[in-house]
Amino acid sequence: MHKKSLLALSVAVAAAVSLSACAGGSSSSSGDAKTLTLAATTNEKPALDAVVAKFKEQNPGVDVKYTTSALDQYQTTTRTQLSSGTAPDVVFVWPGEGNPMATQVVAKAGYLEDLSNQSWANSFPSGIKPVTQYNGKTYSAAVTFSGIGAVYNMTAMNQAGLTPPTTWSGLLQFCSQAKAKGKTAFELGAQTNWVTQLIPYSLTPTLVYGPNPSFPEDMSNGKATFANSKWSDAMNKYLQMQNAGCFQANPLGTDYNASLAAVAKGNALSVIQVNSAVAAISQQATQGTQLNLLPVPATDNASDTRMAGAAGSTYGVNAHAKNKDLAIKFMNFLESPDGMNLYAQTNKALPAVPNDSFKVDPALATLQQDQKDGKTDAFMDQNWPNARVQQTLFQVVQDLLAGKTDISSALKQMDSAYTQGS
Amino acid sequence: MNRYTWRTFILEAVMVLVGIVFFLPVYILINLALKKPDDASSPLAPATSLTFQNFSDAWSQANLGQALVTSAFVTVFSVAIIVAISALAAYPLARVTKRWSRWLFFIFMIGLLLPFQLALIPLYTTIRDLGLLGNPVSLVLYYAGLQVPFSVFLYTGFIRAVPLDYEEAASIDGAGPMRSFFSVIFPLVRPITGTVIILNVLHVWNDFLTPLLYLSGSSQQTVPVALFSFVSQYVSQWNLVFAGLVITIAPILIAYFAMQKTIIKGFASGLKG
Amino acid sequence: MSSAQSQSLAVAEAAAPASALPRRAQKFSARRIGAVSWWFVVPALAFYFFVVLWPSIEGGAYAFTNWDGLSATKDFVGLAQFQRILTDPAGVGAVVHTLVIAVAITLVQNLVGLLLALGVHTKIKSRNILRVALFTPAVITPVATGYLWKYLMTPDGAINQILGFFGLTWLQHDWLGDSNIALWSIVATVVWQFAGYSMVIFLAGLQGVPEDVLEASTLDGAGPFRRFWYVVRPELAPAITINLMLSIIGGLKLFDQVWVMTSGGPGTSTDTMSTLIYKNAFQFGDFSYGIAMALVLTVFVAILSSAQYKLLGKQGGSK
Repeated sequence: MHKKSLLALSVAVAAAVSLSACAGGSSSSSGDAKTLTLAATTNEKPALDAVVAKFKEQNPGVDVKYTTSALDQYQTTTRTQLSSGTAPDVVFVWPGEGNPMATQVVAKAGYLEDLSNQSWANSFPSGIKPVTQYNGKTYSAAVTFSGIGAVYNMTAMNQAGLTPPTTWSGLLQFCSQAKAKGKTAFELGAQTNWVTQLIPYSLTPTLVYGPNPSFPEDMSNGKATFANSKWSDAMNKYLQMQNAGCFQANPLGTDYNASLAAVAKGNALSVIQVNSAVAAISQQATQGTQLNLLPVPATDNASDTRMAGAAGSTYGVNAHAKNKDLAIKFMNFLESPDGMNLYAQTNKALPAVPNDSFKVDPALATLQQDQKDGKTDAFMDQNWPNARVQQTLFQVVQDLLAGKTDISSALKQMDSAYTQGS
Repeated sequence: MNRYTWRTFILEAVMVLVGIVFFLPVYILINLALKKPDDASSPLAPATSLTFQNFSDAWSQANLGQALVTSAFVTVFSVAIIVAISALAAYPLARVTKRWSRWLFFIFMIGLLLPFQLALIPLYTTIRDLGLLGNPVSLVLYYAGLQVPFSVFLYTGFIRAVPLDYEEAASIDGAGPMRSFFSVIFPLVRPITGTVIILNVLHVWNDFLTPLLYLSGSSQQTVPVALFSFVSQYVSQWNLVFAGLVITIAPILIAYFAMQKTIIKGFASGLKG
Repeated sequence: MSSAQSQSLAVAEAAAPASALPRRAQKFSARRIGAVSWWFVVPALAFYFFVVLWPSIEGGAYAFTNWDGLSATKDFVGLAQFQRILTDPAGVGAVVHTLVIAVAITLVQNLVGLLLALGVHTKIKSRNILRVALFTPAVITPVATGYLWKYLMTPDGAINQILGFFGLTWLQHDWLGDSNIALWSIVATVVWQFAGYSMVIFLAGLQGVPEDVLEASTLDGAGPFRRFWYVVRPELAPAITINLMLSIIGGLKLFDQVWVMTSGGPGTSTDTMSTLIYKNAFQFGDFSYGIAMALVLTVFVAILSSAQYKLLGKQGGSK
């Protein structure tokens, strides 16, 4: 490159930079009353597409700019934006406090708008209300209710001549029967770290949180620990399932997607998952495949069995929102039966506030019934004081499955993460 | 020694085999991009019913057309700045043996070591204060600074290996350092410039977290951000993502292929001439 | 001479020791270029200072506070965060894994990259297309290659299928699920991706070597290895230095592939310093602690890379 062309290039660069700086400068500072900004994780994208379209239809002239990113990136960018005062008007938050972007964490730092005066603030069922609040005030709005259970491929079950177990010994028997037919009873995608927690989450409502509803408070008062509770029972049952051949050969080498694919193909009869797996499996399975989300039994008394069910998609309003009025208007739309049902329908979940106009997917009927009967307990991490506890759970489950640790030291690690605080 | 001997042939056979092994995963990537999402056949089996649906879906769902424009803008301008300022800086760093030169080189090298987490938040607030959030210019500035240590390192190493004779000849003709640099050094290190360009393009083109942070909320997005905006925790549409990847790596590969010939030719003539 | 000075000297010497330049040339360069051209450095230094150096210093200061990454308030806590690192049980494993990854990648990636470069810097007909094919993995974003290899490495994935096809069933493994192998599977992925990257840098260095030198006939009585050592290696000196430095730094800071493929698991068997920094800073709401770890990593990388640089200066790296 010659001197002249280099000079010309640098002039061109300078010109382009200053030009687009002007252009960008005017458009990026868009604080006009007609534009709402929003950010969420990519899991919410299909539901957001639907509700945003509806919201714009009801409010002509309003524009909603929303960004979605994968979970890790979402947490990193949104925390940075909140602390720099540049976050969008409406942000996706997690219920409770066991997550870096959880309602109570963000509200405590002063970045969420107090929504206690909104008409819907008191309408949440008792299982959801506490996780939307901090210091007695409502800071976030739960839109959906989601649950954890075993998603059965009923078509494959019928072909194998098997029915979903309703007791713990029935479950172990089911595993050996499935094995005899050449099928995996419960496909386990334990390579994906958050999947590791789902079996304890589906067993502890029956073993720990149902019999002692005040267990979360006991833990925070220091009166209870993981190691000295029935959590050891749950972990023990996890390993019992592994020893009984309930899982496929390499759970630690199988990820979330592969585990769903196995159920969709019918190679595995079931997978213990969040309700969203129902939608993901039916997308891949041959048409007409019947799926059903059912609780996982943990005792030999079928009527004891409870389910983990909790607030799912949740949003909060940025306390420093450029367009607070529009943000609150959007939240009110989300919390209206119309908005909530549309969101839940698209995301294959249940509305956070049960209502009769919601048409439930048959696969989720049991979850809906349990929600109505109060036979659900919140996801455990929503009541944990920091995100370390959950990450420790992921790690110790992988170690347990690999035979690298034992149950008592695994639970002690979780206890020490619980008390470490932050 | 220009004959094509049987030794050459054996070497050729071995290298082609190695090339195939290296390329196999890429083949699988392309193959998956051509398959329907519900195609359960082995990833090795060639797609039987080719579909270009994934490509058009990726293109429209991720709004790749717009993203390619933004990415191209950011890449071209930042790499142009990087090459200009780094080559210029490397010249005295490579030639001057005085203490300030060694210290400066050392200070630049520190930049290679620093983890990105350190500067993340302070830089973000600076860009915010400059009013450049949501503006691709912020990325041009960012990469121009970020990639300086790497590029200076490459240039300095190679300029040191260039014999001084050429500059001496030029200086006898009365050339100052400016002319020595532009008429002697810069043409001589053309293969390095090619390397610096292609390796910087890679980094800028593929970077993910920075554009996500700086451009979020604006309608302009770079290719990786657009591409991964529909990869979710629950439903991963890999056929779509791989199709999108094929679209986005193609421009870089074509550029590399086109560039390497001219670079190599230019260099050979530069040395002999 | 202070130790910092001798270190910077070693850095300067490594790529081209002063002794390589004739005395006359040194005088020439110092007088003719040095006196006038210091301002050549100014634009690069300005960009670098404002984008990298100053923000990093500002950011590093968080390590001496208890900031969670979100709150408006933070307190000065002195060296408390660094003391926590010393007692963190996760730390030791992560340091070991980081070292293993960095050393393995540096050695294997460069050896493979060098052989590839020597292979395509010949008269073979397919050299141009091979250069592109071998470089292709480096063009794909590391996040995507991570996903791709994770997919290939599933228990019934393509790799085990191919091994089965050739009857090598004893070689089949649960590549990422077995905690004894997972770390090496990640190393293999990185080597596959970046061997072509090293190759490109080696090729730039090889441009001074005629293409048929390595497979030239044995007329001169020198075997290929001797020819490589005396003819090619001196030309490659800067490329070797650059490649080794880049790969050891890249290996020590490796994050994307680990995060995508295992997130540090199974258990903690693939946790590296970078994944720990990320987890603490952005997932645990323990930002200052993560930054303290990042500072420790910086010192760590600085020591190891300058040791390597020194070593190269003394041994084969010079002309």
